[in-house]
Amino acid sequence: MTGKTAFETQYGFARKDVRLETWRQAPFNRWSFQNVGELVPSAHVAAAPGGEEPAKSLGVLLGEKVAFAGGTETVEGFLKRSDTDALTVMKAGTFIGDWLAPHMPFGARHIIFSISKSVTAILAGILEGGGVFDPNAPVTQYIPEAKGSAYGDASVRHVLDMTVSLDFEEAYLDPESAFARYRRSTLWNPGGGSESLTTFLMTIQRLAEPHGQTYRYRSPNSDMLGILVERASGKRVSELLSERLWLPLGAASEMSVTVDMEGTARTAGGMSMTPRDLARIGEMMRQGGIAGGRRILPESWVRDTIATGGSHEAWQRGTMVFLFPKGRYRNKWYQTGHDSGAFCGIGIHGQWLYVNPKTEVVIAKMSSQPEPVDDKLDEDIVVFLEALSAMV
Amino acid sequence: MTSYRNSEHRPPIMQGSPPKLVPPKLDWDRPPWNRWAFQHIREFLPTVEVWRGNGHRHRLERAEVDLDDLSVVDSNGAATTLAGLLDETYADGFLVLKDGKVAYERYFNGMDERSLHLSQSMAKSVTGSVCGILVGRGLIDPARLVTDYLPELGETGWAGATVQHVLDMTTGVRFSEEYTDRYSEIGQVDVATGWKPIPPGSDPDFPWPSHLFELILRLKDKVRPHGAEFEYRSIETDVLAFIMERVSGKRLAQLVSEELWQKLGADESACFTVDSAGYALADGGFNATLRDYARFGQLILDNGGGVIPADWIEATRTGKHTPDFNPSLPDGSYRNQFWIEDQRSRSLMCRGVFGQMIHISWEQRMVVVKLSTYPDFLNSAYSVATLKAVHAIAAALA
Repeated sequence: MTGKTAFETQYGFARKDVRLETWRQAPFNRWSFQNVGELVPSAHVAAAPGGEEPAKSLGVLLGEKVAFAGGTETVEGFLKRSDTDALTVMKAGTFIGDWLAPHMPFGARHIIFSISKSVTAILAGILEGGGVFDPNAPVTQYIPEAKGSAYGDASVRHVLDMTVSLDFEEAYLDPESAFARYRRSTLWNPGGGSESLTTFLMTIQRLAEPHGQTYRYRSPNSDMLGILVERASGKRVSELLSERLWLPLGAASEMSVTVDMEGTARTAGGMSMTPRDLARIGEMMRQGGIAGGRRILPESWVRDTIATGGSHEAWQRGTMVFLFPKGRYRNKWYQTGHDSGAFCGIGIHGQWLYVNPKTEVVIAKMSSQPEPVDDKLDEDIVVFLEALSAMV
Repeated sequence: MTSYRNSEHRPPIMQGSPPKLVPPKLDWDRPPWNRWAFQHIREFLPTVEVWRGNGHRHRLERAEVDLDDLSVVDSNGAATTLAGLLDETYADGFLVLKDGKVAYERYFNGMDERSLHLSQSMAKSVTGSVCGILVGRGLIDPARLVTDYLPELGETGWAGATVQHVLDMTTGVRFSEEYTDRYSEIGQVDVATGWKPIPPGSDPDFPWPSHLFELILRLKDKVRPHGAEFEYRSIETDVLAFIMERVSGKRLAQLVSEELWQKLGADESACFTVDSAGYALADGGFNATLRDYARFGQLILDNGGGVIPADWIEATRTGKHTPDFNPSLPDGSYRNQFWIEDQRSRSLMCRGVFGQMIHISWEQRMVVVKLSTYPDFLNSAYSVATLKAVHAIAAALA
C-alpha cells in the first residue's frame, strides 16, 4: 500500500485538484497543459503512418552560455527558469536535440495556445491556394450571420492580420468580463454549454476606428478564422487538419483541438501536439510550404506570411512593439524584423515556434509559465532563441 | 427521431458548420444520436488518454475471405447474409481474426481504421485483464477482503466481500441497473461520471454524487450474502479499479497503457471517460479502434502472450455454470470480468450494451469483434443472432 499516488509524487498535487477552475494555474498547468482533453472535450487528428524516432539529447549545448540583459546563464539554466516543459531543435531539416522536463514524457502532446492561430491560418492558406477562400472577401460572404457584429463590415484580411477594430479586452484574469463569457463558450471555464462559441462571436461589437488601422491582438478573430475556413470548405476544422495538413506533413503523433458544445474547434488556442510535430510545421514553413517533397502551401502565401506581407504601420500602433521593434504580423504569424528573417508563432504561458531561415534552425519551446503573459521573460526568450539558433 | 440502419439515409448529425443536428446532452447514447456519439466520445466528454507509447504498430497479417454473402440467420430466425445481419444489427465495425490474421474487416456509418469506438462494458474485461497482471505480480490477492485494500469501504456493502467476489460480480451489494430510472444507482452513475447532466425536473433535494468514489461510499445495503449469487452490477468493476489504483499508486489509464496498450503494438492511443475528480470509468468508458480491440482479443487467445498470466486466463475460462444463466447466453457464466459462452467451448466474451462484443474461441483460434449502436441498451435477438453468425463464420473458416 502506498501513501502518495505516483501522480502526487510526480506533480506535488492530486489529480482531483485540477479542475476547470484551476487548470491553467501553476502548479496544475505543469500537468494539465499535456492533458487538456481530460478537462475540455477535444477532437483528435490521427498521425500519419509510421512513428516517432527516438529522442536525441541536446548534449553539450545545455552547458553553453547565453548573455541576457540581466546576466549570463546556461542553456539548461534558462530552460528551467522559463518553466520549459519541452524543447526541440531542428537544423537543416534534421532533429538535433530534445530537452524534456521530468514531468513531460517524450512523445506527449502539449497545448500550444495561440500558435493554434498560426496553424489555422495555414488551413486558410491551403484553401486560398485551392481557390476556395478569398482573403479579400468580406467576412459576411462566408458567415452571413456576422452582420450586425464587429465582423459585419470587416474583411477576411482584417481577421487574418488582427486589424479588426474589435471592442474586446483580453482580460485573462478577470472572471466577470466578456472574456470570461467567451471562455465559458469554449468550455475552458466552468459553467459552459449554454452558449456556443459561434453564437458568442456574433455578439461582439466594434470600436469607432476603421478596420485595418491598428494591430489589435484579440483571440476571437482567430476563432472566426476557424469558422471561416469551415464555411469555405464545407468541412470541420479537424477534418481539414487531417486531410490537408497532418497527413501530408508526415506528423508522427496524434494532435487534438478543444471543441465547444457544437463541435466547433477552438482555433484561437485549443490545439495540442508534440514538440516534434510543432517543429515539423515550422520546417514546412521554412521550406516555403513543402514537407517531405510534397507541396502543402503555395510558396507565395508562405513568403507573404513570413517575409513580405503585413503592415509595418499597424504593428507600430499595436502593443507588441517592445518585443519586435521592426516586426509585423501577417496571417497569424509574427515576423521578428531581425536581420536573420526569423519568424514565429507565440502562445501564452510560454509557447514558441521559432524559425530562423538564415541559420536553418527551427525551435519548438513548450512551457508552463505561471503567468499567461510575461513581457520581461518574452524579451529573454527572444534573446535565447536567437542565441540558440546561432549555436547549433 | 428514430435510428437509421447503414443501408438507410444517414442524417447529418454533427455534419456541417454549424451542425444542424447536435446530440442532446441527456440523450447522446440513445438513437439516433448514439450512431454518431459512440465514435466521437472525446468530442463531448473529458477523457483520459491510454497512451499507445512511441513504439511501432504491430502489423496484423491479412488472409482475407469475403464473407459478405455467408448464409446466417437474422434476428427473426430467417435466412440472410452476414452483410444483411450486420446491417440489421446496426454494426459500426466488424472484424474477424483467424489464426491471428485478418480474415474479414468491415466498417460502416462513418467509422474507419482510426476511429475510437465506445465499448461500454467491454471496459470491464480490459480492466479485469490488467487486474490479472497485478495479481500475477503479487500486488493483489483475490482471496483477500476488499477492505484490506480500501479501508474506507468498511462502512459500505462491500464490508466482508473478497476481491474475487468483486471480480465475479457475486458480492451482495444492492445496485440497481435500471437504465431508464434516473434515480437508480446506474442513473446516478451517469451523473457522477459526467456522462449526463442532472436531468431537468429532478428532485432538487436529491443528493447527486459528484464523482464515482463518492457514489461507492454511499452504497451501504446488501441484498444477499457475498458469494451467494452472480448479479451483474457495473459498480463492482469501479471498485476493482480503485483497488488497482490503490495498490499500484497509478491511475487506471496509466496502468492500462503500461500493461496492455504499449505492449499490444496498438494502432492508436485509447481513452477512458473521466469524472470531475479524474477517475476513469472502468465499468464502461473505454474507447479504442476496431483493430486494437482485436489485438486485445488475440492477446487473450494467446493465453496472455506472456503479458497476462496464462493461469489467470485459464481461471477466467473456468466459471460456475447454472441453468438459464442469461437471456442471450443461457449456458454461460461470468468470471474475472469476462463472460464464458458455455462449459464445453469455454470461449470468452467481452460484452457491452448497444451491441459491443469480442468473442474469443480457442477451438477455432478465432477472435471476432463487433462494435455497434443498437437503438436499445439490450436486444437479445440481435445478440443471439450475432453469436450464431460467429459460429457460422467459424464453420466457414474451419
